[in-house]
Amino acid sequence: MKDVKAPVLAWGGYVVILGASVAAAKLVPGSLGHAFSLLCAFVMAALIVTFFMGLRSADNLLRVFALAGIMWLTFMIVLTMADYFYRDIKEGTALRQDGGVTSHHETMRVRHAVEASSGSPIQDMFIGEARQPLRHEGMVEEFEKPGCSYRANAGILLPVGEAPGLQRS
Amino acid sequence: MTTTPSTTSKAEPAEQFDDMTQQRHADLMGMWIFLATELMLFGGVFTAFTVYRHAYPDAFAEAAGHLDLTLGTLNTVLLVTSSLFMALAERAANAEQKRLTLMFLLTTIGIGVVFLAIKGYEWHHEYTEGLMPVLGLEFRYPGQHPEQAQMFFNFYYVLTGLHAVHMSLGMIMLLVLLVFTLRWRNPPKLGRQIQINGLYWAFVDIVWVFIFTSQYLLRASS
Repeated sequence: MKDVKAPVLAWGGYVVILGASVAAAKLVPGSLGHAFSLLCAFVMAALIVTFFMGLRSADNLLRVFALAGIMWLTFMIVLTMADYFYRDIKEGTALRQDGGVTSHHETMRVRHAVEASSGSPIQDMFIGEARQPLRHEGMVEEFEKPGCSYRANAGILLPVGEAPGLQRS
Repeated sequence: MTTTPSTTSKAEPAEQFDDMTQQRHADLMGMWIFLATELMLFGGVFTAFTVYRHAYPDAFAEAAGHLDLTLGTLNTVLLVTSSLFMALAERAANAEQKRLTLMFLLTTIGIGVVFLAIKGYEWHHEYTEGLMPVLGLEFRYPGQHPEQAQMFFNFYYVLTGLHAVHMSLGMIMLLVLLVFTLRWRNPPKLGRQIQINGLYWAFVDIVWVFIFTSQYLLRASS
């Protein structure tokens, strides 16, 4: 059998990198550890593609096809995430009517409370950071929470006053 | 190490090809294109996971901490070892060594079975812990963000389930190759078949690397 040494060495390298990745996940907190684990994943994938899938000795056209698959996947993830980064959407957030963000969990909590109280589902809902109390005819419900109150009006929910937990992130 | 001489080892291209080099290139190209479509299948799920991982970083990191990192790591080592034996089987077949080819293929299949058994054990453990929010099962999550954690576990079961299906299909193909190896009628053709299946098996390994990293490793540090 020819060319056995390279895949065996690649296997050894893979196991060492895997060990480093697992150690980082346990020992290095937060984003740094996550970034290192992701980097290790890409290196391990590269080892498999190069030595187990024969891309090292493949012709150039085959390499182009292999890279094209990775390129399109990268486009999909990067373009999708660019939208979320651009709109500055953070943990558990939903779009506010003023283009900012607020807590999605809080949004759903209030929405469920309104629906339970009124007995009918809300068709559409916005949460905005009101700069002054909003008054509309036909307001049917009012909900209070520390620092903020909500009013439901024909399925449209508007907060009144300052809401410390709903600040732009 | 037994070398079984072949009675029909002279490689003849199929009629639509000029020579064996062209046929081999077509074989590989076809498989790589198929793998690119597979990449898009898993890529869609990974993209959705990335979006939610970004939206709920703390909840997803906490939920990942409920997975068994030791078993996940063991499975990762097992799968790359099976990929190594698959690569060795390809080389043994090209060297027309029947016994070694059989041994490497059997080892690859055996490791695949162990991988799926460990995965099944993990799923059963998560089921008993109430961490399987599928098929209407009750979700009993002990952490702070049960709604977001349920989303995490949905991704976890979709990804690992889809991967297990691919593993199972790959093992069926390996069993077919095992029968072909036992017959040993056309070793050059068998070598090409093992190479093509080896690409698929290695791809499944790559997918697992990213499943393991995204589901098990991106966790909150304890």
